[in-house]
Amino acid sequence: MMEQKSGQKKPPEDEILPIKVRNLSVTYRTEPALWNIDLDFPEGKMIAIVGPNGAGKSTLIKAVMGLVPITAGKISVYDKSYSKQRSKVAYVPQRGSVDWDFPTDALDVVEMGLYGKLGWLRRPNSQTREKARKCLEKVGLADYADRQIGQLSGGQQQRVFVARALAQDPQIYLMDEPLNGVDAITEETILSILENLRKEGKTIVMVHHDLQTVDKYFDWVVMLNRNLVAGGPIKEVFTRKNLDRAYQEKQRLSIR
Amino acid sequence: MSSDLIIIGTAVLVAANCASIGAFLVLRQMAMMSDAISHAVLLGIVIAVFVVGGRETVPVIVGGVLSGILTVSLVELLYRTGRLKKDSSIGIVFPFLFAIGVILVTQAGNVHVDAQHVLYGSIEFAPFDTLYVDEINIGSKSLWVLGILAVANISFISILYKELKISTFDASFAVSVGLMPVLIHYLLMIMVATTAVVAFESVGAIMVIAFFIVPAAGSYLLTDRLSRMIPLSVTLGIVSAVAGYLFALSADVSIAGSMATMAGIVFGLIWVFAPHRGLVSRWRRNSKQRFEVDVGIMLTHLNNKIEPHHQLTSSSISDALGWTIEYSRKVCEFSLDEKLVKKDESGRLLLTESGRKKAEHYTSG
Repeated sequence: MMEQKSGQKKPPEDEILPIKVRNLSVTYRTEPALWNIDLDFPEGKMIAIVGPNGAGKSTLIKAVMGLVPITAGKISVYDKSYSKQRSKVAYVPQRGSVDWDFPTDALDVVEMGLYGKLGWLRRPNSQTREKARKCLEKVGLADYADRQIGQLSGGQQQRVFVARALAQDPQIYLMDEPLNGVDAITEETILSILENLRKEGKTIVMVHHDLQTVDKYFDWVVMLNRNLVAGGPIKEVFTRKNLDRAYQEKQRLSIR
Repeated sequence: MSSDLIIIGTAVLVAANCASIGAFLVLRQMAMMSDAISHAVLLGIVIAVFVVGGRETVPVIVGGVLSGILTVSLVELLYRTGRLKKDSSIGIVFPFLFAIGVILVTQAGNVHVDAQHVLYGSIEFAPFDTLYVDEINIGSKSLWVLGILAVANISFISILYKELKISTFDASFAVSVGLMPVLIHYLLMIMVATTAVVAFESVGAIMVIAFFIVPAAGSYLLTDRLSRMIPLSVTLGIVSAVAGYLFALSADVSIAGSMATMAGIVFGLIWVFAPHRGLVSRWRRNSKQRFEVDVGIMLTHLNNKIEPHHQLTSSSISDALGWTIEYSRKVCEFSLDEKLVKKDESGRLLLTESGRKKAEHYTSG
């Protein structure tokens, strides 16, 4: 088996990429959420994941981090399993996934981005605090550091989450609908930050719901409908035909 | 040491142990789970008593913790099947385990455990249960055990503070950075079960829950920083325990019952009078906002009626807007004080420049 494998190297398999997904299926009980996905995420790109509700967009990025159990297949992050590459990945969950009444302030949430690097038992200190403060500045919330997080607007809360990801200083950003329902200032701030990160060679993978802005904001798109409909550069794959296949009849009518 | 001091010390330590760890139970929305654990530990305690033939502290704690973990695991198991909601799963598991414990207690016979003791505790007897090392009396057993537990709980919280905080606030993020919130969850449940077993002897199964949840819930209404919420919760627990004991002494009623009642009263006071989240301050804030809206309505009204001969006074405003004369006058006086309106020589109300701006701001939305 091993000899055979080394004898028949397929050139693309050699390349070390931020994320490689092979034969991935995820099922919730017996309901398939993702079915037999093969996908390579290229380095240094802004990548959108689009698809109708229930297409498995969030599931895909959660599967990368092992947040949902994988039924079949493999995912590698820079050629290794995610658990060895945690420090290279930052996760921005959906804003609604946490309790914003939690007794803490904006700066503290950003500082949580450094907990992974600290590891078990080591405490945050003045250095982590300073670093968190800088990240909060980058998202334009320096003046809100001491604000209880429930008193921030929705857009500000989303920027706090982005600042937390910046504090992690990763190679890959996995973001679950960070532009959903945010104000114009937040959208601009987040996009200009991401644009700079992309220039630094970071890879950004974002679940995105607004089809109108896909070709404006992103270089690359993954179109899902439980199955992989298409994945590639916007110009090649973001076509009417693929949209039809991803969204099928019902949704297509509403897009027109 | 006097018996009063031993009883108060026991009560204070029970309150501090429960209230500190309770902060996390409240934030994790686990009030019912802690109730379940506090009851289910009975089964483990009784089995431990049967196995070793007495109420030795260590086997009792081990038994209680094991049945606490069994409770948490069974609840998760039922809940994960997707056929039951979490509260129903809890409601099925713990009465079942508790009931088996109750059956076994009645079979205990010569072993010293009884149903009343289980339900209400026996803090009154704390002074008579002394600990011996090499036959030397080293003082009250409950103080020693609860004191060691307090050190354990405080160490647990302060060593794993960062891990507890992040897994409570954002568990999936904690997973993504490798801080294993499931492990933290079970460690926390072990501490809850240990605390429940130890506190159980003093205040019984029913009262333990009051000290896990009530002080922490009160403290949650008073502060918006976790680092302050925990010491505040402990303080509220201690205040309730001491006040409850003094009340029980003066009225000659159940000590555990009085302490839990006091915890409820302290919470009630906070719920009504807390500076930002209390009933009174919420009511004040609402009526203040309501008043500001009414000022806006009046300014808009004045802005619309600028024909020179129209009579605009507080009584015409009362007519037009359907407010009482007194209320219209109050709104007018406030607006005059704030220089949003002014009166001309004939006493007619006119908008000032800032009043007009404000009215236009409201109108344009």
